[in-house]
Amino acid sequence: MSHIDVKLKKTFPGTGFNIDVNFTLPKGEITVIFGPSGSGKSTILRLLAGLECAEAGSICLGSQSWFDSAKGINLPPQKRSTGFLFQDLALFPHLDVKANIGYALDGKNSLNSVKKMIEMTELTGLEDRYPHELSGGEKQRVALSRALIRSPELLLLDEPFSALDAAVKKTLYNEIIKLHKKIGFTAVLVTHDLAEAYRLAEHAVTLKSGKVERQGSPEEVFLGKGLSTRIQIPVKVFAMESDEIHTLLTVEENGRTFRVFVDNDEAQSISIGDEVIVAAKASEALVFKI
Amino acid sequence: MNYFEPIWLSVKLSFVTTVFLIIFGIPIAFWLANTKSRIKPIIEAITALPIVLPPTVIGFYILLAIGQKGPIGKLYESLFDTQLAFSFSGLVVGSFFYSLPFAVQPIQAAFEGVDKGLVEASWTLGKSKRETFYRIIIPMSKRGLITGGVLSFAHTMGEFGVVLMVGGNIPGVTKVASIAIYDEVQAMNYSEANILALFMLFLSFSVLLLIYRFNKRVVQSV
Repeated sequence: MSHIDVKLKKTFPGTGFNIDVNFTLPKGEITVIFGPSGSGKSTILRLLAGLECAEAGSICLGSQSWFDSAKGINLPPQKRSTGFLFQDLALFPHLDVKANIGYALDGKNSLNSVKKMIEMTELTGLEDRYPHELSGGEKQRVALSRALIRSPELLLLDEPFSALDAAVKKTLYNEIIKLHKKIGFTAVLVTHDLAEAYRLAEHAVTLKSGKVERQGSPEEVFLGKGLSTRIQIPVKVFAMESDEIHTLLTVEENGRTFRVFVDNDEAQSISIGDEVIVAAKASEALVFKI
Repeated sequence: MNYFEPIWLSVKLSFVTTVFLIIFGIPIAFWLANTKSRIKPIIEAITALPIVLPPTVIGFYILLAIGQKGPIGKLYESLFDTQLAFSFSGLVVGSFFYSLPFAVQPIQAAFEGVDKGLVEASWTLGKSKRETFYRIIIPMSKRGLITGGVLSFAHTMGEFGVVLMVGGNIPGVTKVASIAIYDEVQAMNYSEANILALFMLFLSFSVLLLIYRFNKRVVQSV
């Protein structure tokens, strides 16, 4: 299986809103579904997880089908190998951290698996705490660990960072990227935050009113033709200065020099001499006189 | 007078009735909490009837049903070769129906209060509906279950009308404490009635206090 093919149709009588999508999720990559509120992003995740049922279409993982309306296949959520990171996390309040993480597991090896996952997500020392005793970021890590512990075929992330402050978000982005590199899971992240989408996406799908607007690599989708409100400028980095939070890049484009502020996390992969693309849209651009 | 016998009967009746109410009340409450069936309001109204009806009315119809000529009474007699009305088992049947809303309603409210997201999270983690029920819904509904149990127990302890209609006043069999107190008052034995009444008061208060303290601990832990 090199990818997951998704074709889904669902109508919502009386609302005038329909979902009619056809997209591909590359195996081992993080696909970001990006779109405004009400575009059907979360419903698509619920359809993928089997928590809601589409009227027509299919979800195929190679020869395996989770859903196929033509063949009458509709596996319940328990039979689909998914891990779901809910927007409100849905941690079980009566279970401590280790019981939450190990909830999906049975048998002798579950303790070892939980221990490994706790170490991997840096939750050591918090095993016996209950969800109400954790910070927002810690709760996220517990929910992520719980979703990943069964090594699901597909990890579904429903705007899990929307309630967090910027610093915690960035830490978690890095952790997800780190875990992704380590485990290599296939994931779908739903978000309406462009920066988040661009930062985490390896493959991207944009949605508008329940329909796929475009899909492909993040560069094609977010910086491609047709998005006239955004600009992209290929530049060369020739100086970098950092403080505790930001890095100031001095870049050059066709003999013109300008400076761009980026977060330190984003600057980690950039070095002097690199050729990079500066992308901006009117509402997010920062302009400094040189 | 043997004080122990009617008090023991009351406690035994309350305990047995509460056990049956929890066993049968949980599935009824779960169905009511989750169904979208059109007959839901009818079932809800039927289970709530004992709250508004006089105990004598409920007792009368239960007596008709479990009496020697009633359908349940006939069936019971053919199976066990003894009559159901005016027996301890008959009292349990009467008490069960009379206290049903006091078990079902708090448990139903607790089930309705469980976050659907937690249930869905459990499903996506591979757990069946049954396992989710035992591992998520029941622990999250502890408070409602305890309240349902306490109310059922307390309501059965305080029964009078239904017990009198269905069980009569047979010493050692159906003469529970509330009827014994009534008998003593009728016979002008106020001091005997007072001893029984005080004992009932103390016992009921202690049971309620214990259970509410336990309930508070459970709620704090959740």
